[in-house]
Amino acid sequence: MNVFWILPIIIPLAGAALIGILGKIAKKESASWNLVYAVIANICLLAVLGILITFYTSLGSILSTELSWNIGPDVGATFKMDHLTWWLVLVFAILGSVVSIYSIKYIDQDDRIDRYYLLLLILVAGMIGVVMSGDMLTLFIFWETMSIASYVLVAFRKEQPEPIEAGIKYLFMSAFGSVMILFGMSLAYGITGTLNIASVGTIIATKFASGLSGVHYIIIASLIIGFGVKAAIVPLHTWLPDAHPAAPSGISAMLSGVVIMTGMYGMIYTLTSFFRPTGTNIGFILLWIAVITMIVGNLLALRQNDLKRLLAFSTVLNVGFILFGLSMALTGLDQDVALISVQGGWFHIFTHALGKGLAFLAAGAIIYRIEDRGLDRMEGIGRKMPWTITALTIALLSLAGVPPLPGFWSKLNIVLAAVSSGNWQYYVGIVLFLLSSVISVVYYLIVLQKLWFSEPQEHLKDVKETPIEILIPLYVLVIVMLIVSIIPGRFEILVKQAAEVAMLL
Amino acid sequence: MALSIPFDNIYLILGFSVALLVIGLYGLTSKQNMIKFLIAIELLLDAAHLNFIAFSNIVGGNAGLVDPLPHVVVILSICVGGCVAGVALSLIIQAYRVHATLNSRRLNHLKH
Amino acid sequence: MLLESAAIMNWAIPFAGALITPIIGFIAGKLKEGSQTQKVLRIIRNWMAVFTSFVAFLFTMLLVVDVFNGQGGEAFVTNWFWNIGDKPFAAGFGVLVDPLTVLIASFASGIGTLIMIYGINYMKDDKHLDRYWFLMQMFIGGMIFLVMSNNFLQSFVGWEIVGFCSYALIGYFFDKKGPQDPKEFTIKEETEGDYNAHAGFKAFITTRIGDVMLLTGILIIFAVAGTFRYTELLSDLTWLSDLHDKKILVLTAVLIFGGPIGKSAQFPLQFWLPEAMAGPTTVSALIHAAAMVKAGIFMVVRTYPMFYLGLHDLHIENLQYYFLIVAAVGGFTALMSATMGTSATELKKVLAFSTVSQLGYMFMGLGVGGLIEPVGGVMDYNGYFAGSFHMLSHAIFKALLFLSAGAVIHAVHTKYIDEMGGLRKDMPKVFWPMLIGGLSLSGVVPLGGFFSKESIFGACWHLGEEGNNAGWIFFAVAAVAAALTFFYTIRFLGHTFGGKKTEHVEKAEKEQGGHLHKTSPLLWVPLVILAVGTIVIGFLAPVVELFMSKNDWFAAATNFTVEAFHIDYAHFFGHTFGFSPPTFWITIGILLTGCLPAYFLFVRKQWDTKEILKKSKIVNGIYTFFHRRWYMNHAIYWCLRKFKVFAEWLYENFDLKVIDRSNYIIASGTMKSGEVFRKTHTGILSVNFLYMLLGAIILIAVLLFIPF
Repeated sequence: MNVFWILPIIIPLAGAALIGILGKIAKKESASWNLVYAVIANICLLAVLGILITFYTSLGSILSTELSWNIGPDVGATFKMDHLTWWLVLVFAILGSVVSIYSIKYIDQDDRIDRYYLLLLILVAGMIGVVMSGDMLTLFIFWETMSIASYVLVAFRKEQPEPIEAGIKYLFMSAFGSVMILFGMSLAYGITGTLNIASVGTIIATKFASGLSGVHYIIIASLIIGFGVKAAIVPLHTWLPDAHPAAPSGISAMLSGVVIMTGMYGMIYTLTSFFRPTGTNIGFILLWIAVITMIVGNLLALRQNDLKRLLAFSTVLNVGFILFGLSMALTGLDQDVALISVQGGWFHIFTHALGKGLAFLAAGAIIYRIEDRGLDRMEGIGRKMPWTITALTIALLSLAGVPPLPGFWSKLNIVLAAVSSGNWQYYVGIVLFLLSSVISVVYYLIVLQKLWFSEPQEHLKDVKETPIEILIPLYVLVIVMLIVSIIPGRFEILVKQAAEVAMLL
Repeated sequence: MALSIPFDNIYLILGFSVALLVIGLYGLTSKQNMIKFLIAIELLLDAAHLNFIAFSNIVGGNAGLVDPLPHVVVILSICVGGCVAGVALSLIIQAYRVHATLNSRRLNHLKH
Repeated sequence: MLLESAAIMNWAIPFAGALITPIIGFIAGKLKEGSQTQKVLRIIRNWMAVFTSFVAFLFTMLLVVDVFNGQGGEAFVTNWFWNIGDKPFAAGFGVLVDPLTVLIASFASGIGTLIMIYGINYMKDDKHLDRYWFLMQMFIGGMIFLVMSNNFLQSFVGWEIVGFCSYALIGYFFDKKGPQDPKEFTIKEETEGDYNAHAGFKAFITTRIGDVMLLTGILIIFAVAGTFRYTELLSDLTWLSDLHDKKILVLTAVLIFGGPIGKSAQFPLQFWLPEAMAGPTTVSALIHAAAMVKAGIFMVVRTYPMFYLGLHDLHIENLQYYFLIVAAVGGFTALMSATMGTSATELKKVLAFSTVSQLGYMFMGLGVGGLIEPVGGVMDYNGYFAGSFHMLSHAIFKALLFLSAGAVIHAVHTKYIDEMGGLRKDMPKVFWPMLIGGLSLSGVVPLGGFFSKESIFGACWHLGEEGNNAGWIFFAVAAVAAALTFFYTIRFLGHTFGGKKTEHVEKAEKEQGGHLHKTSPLLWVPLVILAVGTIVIGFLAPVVELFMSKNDWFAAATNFTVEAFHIDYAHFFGHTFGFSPPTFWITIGILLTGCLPAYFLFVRKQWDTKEILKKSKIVNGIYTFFHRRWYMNHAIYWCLRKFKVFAEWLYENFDLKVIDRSNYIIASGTMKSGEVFRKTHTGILSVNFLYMLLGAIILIAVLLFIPF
């Protein structure tokens, strides 16, 4: 077994350990020590990014590596590194490193900064572990690693009432989700006798060739509910609008941008691997869940006054979009069309991570200056902090799907695939999809109009532009977004390979 | 259900597991105390663990062997569950300090 | 290679200019007010717009040469998405070089350049020129982008760019604080700025109705044909039969036509265009002559071969209803707007109505052309060519008319024609070009308008001769509209330049120091160029015809042969124009019918028009009816107001009373049941878990009990 392949998990964990030790050594908290932690975190994540890029050429040949106990085949911890994993780790690493730079200035007033970076690295390592694991045990362990880190990060400012309340809600609901995952896995193990996810699929396909029965549906339901809590599909989304705004803005960006998507990955990856070989049609159920998610997310976001809460609800909406695209993998529709749709779904994960991450970071920058999350208190701030609000504008326009920003390309894939699917459920769905997009534009525009076109209020008189340390990560993301807008085709190649893996082609 | 089951009492054990599941869900939906929530979560976790252990018998086959893998899963899962419980308890303590209550019903300041 | 890059450059360069403009403006704004560098920068910014449009024009001219040499076709720049099976999937990004695209791109960029030159002087006192130049360049770039595209989707993006720019430019003077013009009767707003903003908004919303129809049509076609590309749609026409089998072919065609109805201001969405005069005159000229409204014609011409082949090659008879609808909408609009033009009192509004009317002509020509049977395997080209050629000649003379109208309004500070008069001597450099433009609009021999209009008459006549009685009806409509056109042309020319100077003009002279300011060369040079163009384009008609026939992909895709054209005046008079004696003499008759009464009324002033209006109730009634634009605007606003009242009623009676009430009941009910279940029903977190459980139960039930 080649340890080289699991370096993306080991490096952040090692960095976390290093920060932990340094945090003990450094008696007093000082700015220079904080910078050291941030630099370590950032170096780790950039190293992951670098290693990842060297992986790309050999992705076709290597599929998985095993930490085996030499008992038999399929026994042991399995790690995989395919195009899909590669693509998601790329997203995590980009957003993670941006957030680690952003946090240098953003949390400099807090205590326990070493733990912040330690947890951030563990969070990223957990996420990378989830997408790299090839068997249920590994998946579960990393899932919990990621979850625990995120619970603590949500409640990071533990002296304030809001983060604690949000953290507790998040913890209990998410823990319930984890349990459901484990429950579903236990049943899947029971009917197949293996923990290896790919083998489960093949065994189910050969053993139950006649069709699915009750126990399979229980497994499907458990997995949808378990991963769905993290992915915030309706009606399992209720923790999200509490937890995402309550966290420090950098963590909000991570949670909304990528942690949610880990849940989505888990759901789609397990369901596809288990049941796609049998030719199931549960995609249609996912489609309707997606549609309900979109509608509910939209309706809740419409009247929000709290900027971060609004963005959190818009995350629910986008979860609906992504699930809509990915659901086609689990239907019996034409494979070429489904591939486009799934490709759109994975691409939307990327574009949404960029857009929502940037939006949360920019919102955090505003909050850093005025220490208030109410939109009515921010009216006219565009005149005072033009650079920050410009970044926010680009993010929101991308989320709204304005061409040629990234959000447009990913949505276009999904729409085109649904239009050519030739299935009435997708036709109805796509109408609601477009409708939701239009409604979402309404509240994005309301935000932009308030920020840009109102006269600055009295209490905003002395507000200054965001400090440069915070602006730099914002504009790194802006540049990435502009690159994607200009050459979406290059990224489509990567996503297409990922989608092929996801569809088991 | 296309299970081939050598161990006769498997349904009994699965029944216990379902009972644990139901009790856990009942606890989650109807209790107020956050500590009780935690206990409910642990019960749910145990339902899953029980499943694993029960199935390890079937998968081992007729040779009287028991598949060791589920045991590993369960042991690791108990460790992880301990971590979660630890984090949960520390959050509950902090909530008690900040909000001066253990009642989850009082933690409703965040509304939609 | 040159061909491809030219086809991209001619829209990319205006876009680039548009993006650079705000940067220059930003830098200039940071400098010290009134400093030398600032002035230089601003001059650079202004002339850059002229330069980018001109460069776009040069690139387009390269394409013209290429097309004449028989080159052209599609060039793929990049394929955004990957293939489904063997077919390139969906939205390939590319350009299509063929006579139609090059024709429109050439006049959009050429006339655009002249309008830019004109605008430098015309807009020189404005404070927000960054916005102006940005939008103008985006506008031209968007228009060229729209026409050069090789697929529906990309065209639609351009379509939206153009729509947005027009909205922003019509409402350009949204911050004018003065009171609204009291004579305006359709829109009532507090200030002039509000009126302008309202006009822009109206244009945007109205065209948006058409856009939605167009997008729906495009998506239907895509769902059936699996491609957006024009060439693929044309080379494989099975999608037409598929749609026909599903009984939605005509619906789809009409949905596609819905976009042009909105964009080109045809009945029943014609009412936004007159208010679009609220923007600067240069914008009006650009909207009416070069861009925006021509986009609608483009879309119909672009889809014309597909539907024509469907009708005459695949023999899907239902498609004749599509062509009939196009022709009927066009004919009705042409007639209706011409009558409105006879009674409008604002100079620019007369021109606006004439635009709507002339666009109606083009649609009529296209619709009629689609109905003409091919003879002996030779596709009939009359309607196709008539519509496109009228678009070209109209672009030139309408730009000329608008720009001269702008010069007149600039000089005398009024937009009402009854407040003008006697300007012939004072503004000769405006008068003569405007006269030429006006005569061309009315279709006087031998100006451009004559040939293009005559070709539409010829198409109608031809259809009639074929035995289709619709041809005669359309011919009659076209004839009456032509007579009315000449009538109002003479009317506004007579009011503006003929007769004695009115008090208003004399006042304006006094204010400017005894006589009107000299017209700046930046204003009149474009006019002269356009006037020359108007005269020349008529004689170039055979050349244009030859150019339009160089349509390789079109000919290759059809089972018909396109008749081989050559520059031949005999052929040109004999065939294409239907220039047989009857139509010619009828035209002369029509023109005299329109011209003579107008001449005596408005130039010789034989009778006092105001007296006639006072004395004769019938004439007054008709005049008011026309002047109030057939009360259509009123009707629409009435409906909107009623709808608003209804919505408020609904809000008060339904929303507040029923929904809020029920909310209240539900809320209090929940509270009460909460009281009841308090012992078992705890806290918010538990409620969340209840939601979850409910979701889980429903999910499992669906999985187990619904077959899928």
